[in-house]
Amino acid sequence: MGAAGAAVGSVSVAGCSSQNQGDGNESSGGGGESGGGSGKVVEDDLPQERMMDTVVHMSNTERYYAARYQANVLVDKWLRDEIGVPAEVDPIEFTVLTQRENNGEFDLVTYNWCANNGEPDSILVNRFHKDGSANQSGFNHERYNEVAMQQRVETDQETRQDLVYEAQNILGEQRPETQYLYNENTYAYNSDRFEEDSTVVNVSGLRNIWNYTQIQPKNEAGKTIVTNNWDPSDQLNPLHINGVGPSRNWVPTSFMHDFLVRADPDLKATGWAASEWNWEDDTTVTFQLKEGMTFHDGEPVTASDVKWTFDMIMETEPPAYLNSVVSVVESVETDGDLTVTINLQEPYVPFILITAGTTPILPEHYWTKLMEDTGNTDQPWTINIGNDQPIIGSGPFQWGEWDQGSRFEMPAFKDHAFAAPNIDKRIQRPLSTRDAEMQAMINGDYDLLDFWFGDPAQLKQTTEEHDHLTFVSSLDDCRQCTWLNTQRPPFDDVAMRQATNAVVTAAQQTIINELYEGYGQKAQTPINPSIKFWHNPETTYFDGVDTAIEILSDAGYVWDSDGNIYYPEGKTGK
Amino acid sequence: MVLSLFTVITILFFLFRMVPGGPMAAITSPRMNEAARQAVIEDYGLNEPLWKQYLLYMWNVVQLNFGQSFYYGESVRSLVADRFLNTMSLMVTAFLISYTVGTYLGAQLGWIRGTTKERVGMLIVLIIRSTPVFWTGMIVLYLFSFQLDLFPLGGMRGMQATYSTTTQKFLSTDFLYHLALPVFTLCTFYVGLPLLLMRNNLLEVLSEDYIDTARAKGLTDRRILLKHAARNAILPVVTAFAIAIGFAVGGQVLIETVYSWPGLGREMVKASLRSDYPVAQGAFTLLSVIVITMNFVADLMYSYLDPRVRLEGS
Repeated sequence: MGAAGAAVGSVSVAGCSSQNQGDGNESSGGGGESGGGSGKVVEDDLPQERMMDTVVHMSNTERYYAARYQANVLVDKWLRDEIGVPAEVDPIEFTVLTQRENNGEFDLVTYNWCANNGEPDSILVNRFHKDGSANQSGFNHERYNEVAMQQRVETDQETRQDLVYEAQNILGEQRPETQYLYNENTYAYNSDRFEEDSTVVNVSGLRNIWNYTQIQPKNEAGKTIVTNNWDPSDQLNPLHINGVGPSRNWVPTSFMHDFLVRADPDLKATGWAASEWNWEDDTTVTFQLKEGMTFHDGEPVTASDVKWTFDMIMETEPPAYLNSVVSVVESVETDGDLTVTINLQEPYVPFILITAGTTPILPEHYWTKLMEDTGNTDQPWTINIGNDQPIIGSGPFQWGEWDQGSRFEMPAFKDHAFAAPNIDKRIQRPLSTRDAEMQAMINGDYDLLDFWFGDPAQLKQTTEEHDHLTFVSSLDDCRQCTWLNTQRPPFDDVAMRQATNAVVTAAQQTIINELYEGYGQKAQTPINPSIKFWHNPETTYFDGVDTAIEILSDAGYVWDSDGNIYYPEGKTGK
Repeated sequence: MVLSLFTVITILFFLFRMVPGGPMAAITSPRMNEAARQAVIEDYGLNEPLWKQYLLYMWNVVQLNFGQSFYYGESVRSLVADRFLNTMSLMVTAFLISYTVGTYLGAQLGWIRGTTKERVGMLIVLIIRSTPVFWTGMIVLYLFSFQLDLFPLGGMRGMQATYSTTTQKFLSTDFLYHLALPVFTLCTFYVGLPLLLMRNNLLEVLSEDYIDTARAKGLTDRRILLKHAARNAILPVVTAFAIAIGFAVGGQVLIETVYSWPGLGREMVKASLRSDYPVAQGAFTLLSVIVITMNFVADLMYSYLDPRVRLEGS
């Protein structure tokens, strides 16, 4: 037990590195090398109760996400072959996965998790704070808990960055999470129809408001953008949980509305409907609205619409806004038509991106009528939005025609005060197979791909074979990773978690090259480098099979002659 | 009929809830805090005890209210009605064509039994019938859309087509143009059953005495085939047709996927995977209603077509 404790916080173990990822630092162990490994303490006649039980690795099914499933199979093979940890993939449907994860019935669980609008807060607090809503690993670290809460009240950016860096380092050392990779997603567009230097690519590829408002058509065909969608839009009420969560609905919703603030292409908060904002004190922030903004029906956008939106949300408490508004905002005041002051219940710096960046400005005159007409004054999120009751917002795109399940058409709002699109119309029209999507790009039915879930290499090859297609790839703001259950053996022991990280790090390049066809980057921290300001490039991590064996040996783990791992003396898996 | 429906709806209710997993995975994001998650659960009534949920559900069903989809947040009735129309436009067209063509060809093949023509015909039919329908679909799509660019890549309407009414939507040439390939694919598959049924029945009927009588009367082959043989041989085909229409509601998941057809079949599979109980239950209930009704209709039609099957006393 003492040996296990010695490894805690140790950054002097050989192979443990804090170098920038992607610097070509090769693993010291290497893949598929001698299973026996050097440095393993092999003993005979070890007691059966110290032998490690099967490690349950919960995973999505192969059908749900082939590359992720195969990455899990590969990692488990490495854990078994290299350090004798009997890990087995347990593929289950995603609905069951969530349930079992909530119940803590796993040793390892793998999927991906994205940042919220470029904010590191949800990554740090929800997942790893002892009271975090998604802390299914049961991670509890005193210093970490402090830092995670401090960063959300620190208004000074630089100081907050230091805290976020420190939090990442603690996670790096403690390893409740081990990252597989940061995904690069691939997309394509028709360069016969658009000026190439007018496209804007961000973490969502071409599927972002900056691209859709700035892209410059070359000809008549380019004035209408027809794109795919991974699933048809199905809920466009901006107050409904499904209207703002999944990207199939959030993309059109965010295009039809304006927000005080948006995350710019580099995921930094920038004024949108607000020309500027100032923190008056820890809990008071004042926004200055831009002049000349109107809703799609011609009515002006005023400070009182902003106030009405926040007041209505605080009064009716839509589940979708409990996190970001109801539990955060105390009151809203206006001063004239263009000044809004928001008072917070307590200091909360993520407010700018999380609240002001995701709460749409709704037209008071239209929504009060809608709520009265439908009798939904206390649950406005249940109002059925459709062609007979469309959305009226003030965003760069308007409600056009919605054919549920197959198609949604959005004409550009040419009178938008500062972000009028250059194109005339955007149409979402999903096709259910990747082959059909690719063919639609080739024959010009599609103008660009908002999503591409097919084979990246095949997309690249197709774009090379067809002169009118241009290939785009971009890093998303997520990470594919495994969470370790710190509440039960074997991963209640930090040495075991560090060793797992070392083995996964050694396997990373193989995962990226073999399973993701090179579209990905090695990952060491939960905060993706696309969130540049918050990503700590020097986060602690462990690398290589030899490192893993060394950490485990120092912690007292031993192996039998068949390579199976046994707990240190005095410890069992029970 | 009412009793069967009641049983089916009850079984459905509990069956979906017995499956491991829950609807929350598809609705909420792990970023949500506990209060928000709880609010959603309450919003959908999932916090109530199961028996209470059941009673409430049954009471609503009696009023033809199937609730709201967890996943879409939309009323199940309008969602299912919309997908139902899409599916039926595809399946009914395919069945009408397959059964008409199949019955006719089956009768012809039965009539020319023993000839080389018949053997070749049967071989083709058996090959088509044994080919997986999604495979045929992919080949047809690849050939006519990808290679020859004669037909659309999928969906029910053009990328930029607009309609003002539902009737216009389903009667437009654009719609028929999108309908052609999936219907053709389905027909190649579904034509086999009525064809084989018809042929086999015809062979049986042709050995009956009354056919010999007809021949002895000096009737033409065509008249014997149509008036005497085919009419008797068609009975099982009619039953098969009625039952097929019933199951058509479930759509053809594979074909709907290959041709990006926004139908009920695909929706049912997705709803089951997402544990979207209201949609899954609503769709399966509709399926049961139609299957039960169509079986009933088949029985009625039987008595009309076959004078021997009559209700007593009539």
